Amino acid sequence: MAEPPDMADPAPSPMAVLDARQRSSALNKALDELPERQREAILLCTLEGYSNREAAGMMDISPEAVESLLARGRRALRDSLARGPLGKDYER
Amino acid sequence: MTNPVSDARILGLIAAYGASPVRWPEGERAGALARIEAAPDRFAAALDEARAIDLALECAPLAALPAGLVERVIAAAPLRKADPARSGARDRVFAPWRGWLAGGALACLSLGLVTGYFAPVNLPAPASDADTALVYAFLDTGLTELDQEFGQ
Repeated sequence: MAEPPDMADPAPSPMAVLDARQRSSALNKALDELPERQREAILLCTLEGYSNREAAGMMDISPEAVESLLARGRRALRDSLARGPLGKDYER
Repeated sequence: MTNPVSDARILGLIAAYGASPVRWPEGERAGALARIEAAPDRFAAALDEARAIDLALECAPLAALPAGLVERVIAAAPLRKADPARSGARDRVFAPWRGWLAGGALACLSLGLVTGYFAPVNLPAPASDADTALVYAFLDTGLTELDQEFGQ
Protein backbone atom coordinates (compact mmCIF):
# COMPACT_ATOMS: atom_id res chain seq x y z
CA MET A 1 0.00 0.00 0.00
CA ALA A 2 1.40 3.38 -1.03
CA GLU A 3 2.17 5.88 1.66
CA PRO A 4 -0.03 9.00 1.68
CA PRO A 5 1.70 12.12 0.34
CA ASP A 6 3.26 14.51 2.81
CA MET A 7 0.89 17.32 3.74
CA ALA A 8 2.11 20.83 4.45
CA ASP A 9 1.36 21.99 7.97
CA PRO A 10 -1.08 24.90 7.58
CA ALA A 11 -0.16 26.34 10.98
CA PRO A 12 2.16 29.37 11.10
CA SER A 13 5.76 28.35 11.45
CA PRO A 14 7.45 28.87 14.81
CA MET A 15 9.59 31.56 13.20
CA ALA A 16 6.50 33.40 11.94
CA VAL A 17 4.88 33.23 15.36
CA LEU A 18 8.06 34.45 17.00
CA ASP A 19 8.36 37.32 14.52
CA ALA A 20 4.75 38.41 15.12
CA ARG A 21 5.30 38.26 18.87
CA GLN A 22 8.49 40.26 18.61
CA ARG A 23 6.69 42.95 16.64
CA SER A 24 3.81 43.13 19.09
CA SER A 25 6.14 43.20 22.05
CA ALA A 26 8.35 45.89 20.52
CA LEU A 27 5.35 48.06 19.69
CA ASN A 28 3.86 47.64 23.12
CA LYS A 29 7.16 48.63 24.72
CA ALA A 30 7.57 51.60 22.39
CA LEU A 31 4.04 52.84 23.13
CA ASP A 32 4.65 52.40 26.82
CA GLU A 33 7.78 54.55 26.65
CA LEU A 34 6.03 57.48 24.99
CA PRO A 35 5.21 60.58 27.00
CA GLU A 36 1.61 60.33 28.13
CA ARG A 37 0.17 63.07 25.90
CA GLN A 38 1.89 61.71 22.79
CA ARG A 39 0.54 58.24 23.59
CA GLU A 40 -2.95 59.67 24.10
CA ALA A 41 -2.86 61.45 20.75
CA ILE A 42 -1.72 58.32 18.92
CA LEU A 43 -4.28 56.13 20.66
CA LEU A 44 -7.14 58.49 19.88
CA CYS A 45 -6.23 59.43 16.30
CA THR A 46 -4.44 56.37 14.98
CA LEU A 47 -5.90 53.48 16.90
CA GLU A 48 -9.36 54.77 17.80
CA GLY A 49 -9.90 56.64 14.54
CA TYR A 50 -10.86 60.06 15.88
CA SER A 51 -10.13 63.08 13.72
CA ASN A 52 -7.57 65.60 14.93
CA ARG A 53 -10.40 68.00 15.84
CA GLU A 54 -12.27 65.37 17.82
CA ALA A 55 -9.08 64.34 19.62
CA ALA A 56 -8.32 67.99 20.29
CA GLY A 57 -11.69 68.42 21.95
CA MET A 58 -11.21 65.32 24.03
CA MET A 59 -7.71 66.32 25.10
CA ASP A 60 -8.72 69.96 25.61
CA ILE A 61 -6.00 71.26 23.29
CA SER A 62 -5.91 72.72 19.78
CA PRO A 63 -5.88 70.55 16.62
CA GLU A 64 -2.42 71.96 15.90
CA ALA A 65 -1.22 70.73 19.27
CA VAL A 66 -2.66 67.28 18.55
CA GLU A 67 -0.81 67.25 15.26
CA SER A 68 2.42 68.20 16.98
CA LEU A 69 1.94 65.44 19.56
CA LEU A 70 1.24 62.93 16.78
CA ALA A 71 4.36 63.89 14.84
CA ARG A 72 6.58 63.75 17.91
CA GLY A 73 4.97 60.53 19.04
CA ARG A 74 5.47 58.81 15.71
CA ARG A 75 9.08 59.99 15.58
CA ALA A 76 9.69 58.64 19.07
CA LEU A 77 8.01 55.36 18.15
CA ARG A 78 10.24 55.00 15.10
CA ASP A 79 13.36 55.70 17.17
CA SER A 80 12.27 53.25 19.84
CA LEU A 81 11.43 50.51 17.33
CA ALA A 82 14.73 51.11 15.52
CA ARG A 83 16.57 50.26 18.73
CA GLY A 84 14.67 46.98 19.09
CA PRO A 85 15.30 43.48 17.72
CA LEU A 86 13.56 44.35 14.43
CA GLY A 87 15.29 47.70 14.14
CA LYS A 88 16.43 47.17 10.57
CA ASP A 89 12.80 47.62 9.45
CA TYR A 90 12.76 51.14 10.85
CA GLU A 91 16.19 52.43 9.85
CA ARG A 92 16.06 55.70 7.96
CA MET B 1 -10.64 73.11 -7.53
CA THR B 2 -8.36 72.06 -4.71
CA ASN B 3 -6.48 74.38 -2.44
CA PRO B 4 -2.74 74.12 -3.01
CA VAL B 5 -0.75 72.61 -0.16
CA SER B 6 2.94 73.41 0.29
CA ASP B 7 5.59 70.71 0.23
CA ALA B 8 6.54 71.48 3.82
CA ARG B 9 2.92 71.09 4.89
CA ILE B 10 2.64 67.75 3.09
CA LEU B 11 5.73 66.49 4.87
CA GLY B 12 4.13 67.68 8.10
CA LEU B 13 0.93 65.78 7.32
CA ILE B 14 2.89 62.61 6.60
CA ALA B 15 4.94 63.00 9.78
CA ALA B 16 1.85 63.48 11.93
CA TYR B 17 -0.80 61.28 10.32
CA GLY B 18 1.21 58.71 8.41
CA ALA B 19 1.26 57.63 4.79
CA SER B 20 -2.45 56.91 4.40
CA PRO B 21 -4.30 59.98 3.04
CA VAL B 22 -7.56 58.89 4.66
CA ARG B 23 -6.04 59.95 7.98
CA TRP B 24 -5.07 63.42 6.78
CA PRO B 25 -7.36 66.35 7.56
CA GLU B 26 -10.09 66.35 4.96
CA GLY B 27 -9.66 69.99 3.98
CA GLU B 28 -6.06 69.44 2.90
CA ARG B 29 -6.27 65.93 1.54
CA ALA B 30 -7.13 66.63 -2.10
CA GLY B 31 -4.55 69.40 -2.44
CA ALA B 32 -1.84 67.30 -0.85
CA LEU B 33 -2.63 64.31 -3.07
CA ALA B 34 -2.54 66.48 -6.18
CA ARG B 35 0.88 67.82 -5.23
CA ILE B 36 2.23 64.35 -4.42
CA GLU B 37 0.97 63.07 -7.74
CA ALA B 38 2.79 65.91 -9.48
CA ALA B 39 6.09 65.32 -7.68
CA PRO B 40 6.10 61.78 -6.26
CA ASP B 41 9.87 61.56 -5.83
CA ARG B 42 9.87 64.51 -3.47
CA PHE B 43 7.74 62.65 -0.94
CA ALA B 44 8.68 59.02 -1.55
CA ALA B 45 11.18 58.76 1.29
CA ALA B 46 8.84 60.36 3.83
CA LEU B 47 5.99 58.11 2.73
CA ASP B 48 8.15 54.98 2.96
CA GLU B 49 9.28 55.90 6.44
CA ALA B 50 5.73 56.63 7.53
CA ARG B 51 4.48 53.32 6.11
CA ALA B 52 6.87 51.40 8.36
CA ILE B 53 5.38 53.10 11.41
CA ASP B 54 1.84 52.67 10.05
CA LEU B 55 2.47 48.95 9.68
CA ALA B 56 3.82 48.73 13.22
CA LEU B 57 0.75 50.54 14.54
CA GLU B 58 -1.53 48.25 12.59
CA CYS B 59 -0.12 45.49 14.78
CA ALA B 60 -1.51 47.31 17.81
CA PRO B 61 -4.59 45.08 18.08
CA LEU B 62 -2.20 42.17 18.48
CA ALA B 63 -0.05 44.02 20.96
CA ALA B 64 -1.59 43.79 24.37
CA LEU B 65 -2.08 47.47 25.05
CA PRO B 66 -2.16 48.31 28.73
CA ALA B 67 -5.54 47.18 29.95
CA GLY B 68 -8.08 49.96 29.99
CA LEU B 69 -5.68 52.60 28.69
CA VAL B 70 -7.90 53.74 25.83
CA GLU B 71 -10.95 53.74 28.08
CA ARG B 72 -9.09 55.83 30.67
CA VAL B 73 -8.03 58.38 28.05
CA ILE B 74 -11.56 58.72 26.74
CA ALA B 75 -13.12 58.77 30.19
CA ALA B 76 -10.78 61.57 31.21
CA ALA B 77 -11.55 63.64 28.13
CA PRO B 78 -13.17 66.99 29.04
CA LEU B 79 -15.43 67.04 25.98
CA ARG B 80 -16.80 63.63 26.78
CA LYS B 81 -17.79 64.79 30.23
CA ALA B 82 -19.11 68.15 29.07
CA ASP B 83 -21.19 66.92 26.15
CA PRO B 84 -23.10 63.69 26.74
CA ALA B 85 -24.60 64.03 23.25
CA ARG B 86 -21.22 63.04 21.89
CA SER B 87 -21.17 59.86 23.92
CA GLY B 88 -21.75 57.85 20.74
CA ALA B 89 -18.84 59.48 18.95
CA ARG B 90 -16.44 56.73 19.75
CA ASP B 91 -18.70 54.03 18.43
CA ARG B 92 -19.65 56.09 15.40
CA VAL B 93 -16.07 56.95 14.51
CA PHE B 94 -14.57 53.68 15.61
CA ALA B 95 -17.02 51.47 13.75
CA PRO B 96 -15.54 52.06 10.27
CA TRP B 97 -12.13 51.29 11.73
CA ARG B 98 -13.03 47.88 12.97
CA GLY B 99 -12.42 46.49 9.52
CA TRP B 100 -9.16 48.40 9.38
CA LEU B 101 -8.06 47.00 12.71
CA ALA B 102 -9.02 43.51 11.66
CA GLY B 103 -7.18 44.10 8.41
CA GLY B 104 -4.20 45.28 10.38
CA ALA B 105 -4.21 42.16 12.47
CA LEU B 106 -4.44 40.11 9.29
CA ALA B 107 -1.61 42.15 7.76
CA CYS B 108 0.56 41.49 10.79
CA LEU B 109 -0.15 37.80 10.69
CA SER B 110 0.45 37.74 6.93
CA LEU B 111 3.74 39.54 7.44
CA GLY B 112 4.75 36.92 9.94
CA LEU B 113 3.63 34.11 7.66
CA VAL B 114 5.50 35.54 4.68
CA THR B 115 8.58 36.04 6.79
CA GLY B 116 8.30 32.54 8.11
CA TYR B 117 7.70 31.11 4.66
CA PHE B 118 10.62 32.80 2.97
CA ALA B 119 13.11 32.90 5.81
CA PRO B 120 14.30 29.30 5.36
CA VAL B 121 15.12 30.05 1.70
CA ASN B 122 17.78 32.45 2.85
CA LEU B 123 19.25 30.16 5.46
CA PRO B 124 22.52 28.52 4.52
CA ALA B 125 21.41 25.24 6.04
CA PRO B 126 18.28 23.76 7.57
CA ALA B 127 17.62 24.98 11.08
CA SER B 128 19.40 22.84 13.59
CA ASP B 129 17.76 21.27 16.61
CA ALA B 130 19.39 23.98 18.68
CA ASP B 131 17.75 26.70 16.57
CA THR B 132 14.39 25.00 16.86
CA ALA B 133 14.81 24.66 20.58
CA LEU B 134 15.65 28.34 20.84
CA VAL B 135 12.49 29.27 18.96
CA TYR B 136 10.30 27.02 21.07
CA ALA B 137 11.92 28.37 24.19
CA PHE B 138 10.22 31.68 23.40
CA LEU B 139 6.86 30.15 22.72
CA ASP B 140 4.24 29.18 25.23
CA THR B 141 4.18 25.62 23.96
CA GLY B 142 7.74 24.82 24.84
CA LEU B 143 9.66 21.72 23.95
CA THR B 144 8.74 20.15 27.23
CA GLU B 145 5.13 19.74 26.14
CA LEU B 146 6.23 18.33 22.82
CA ASP B 147 8.51 15.90 24.57
CA GLN B 148 5.65 14.80 26.78
CA GLU B 149 3.37 14.44 23.78
CA PHE B 150 5.84 12.22 21.98
CA GLY B 151 6.84 10.41 25.14
CA GLN B 152 10.47 11.46 25.03
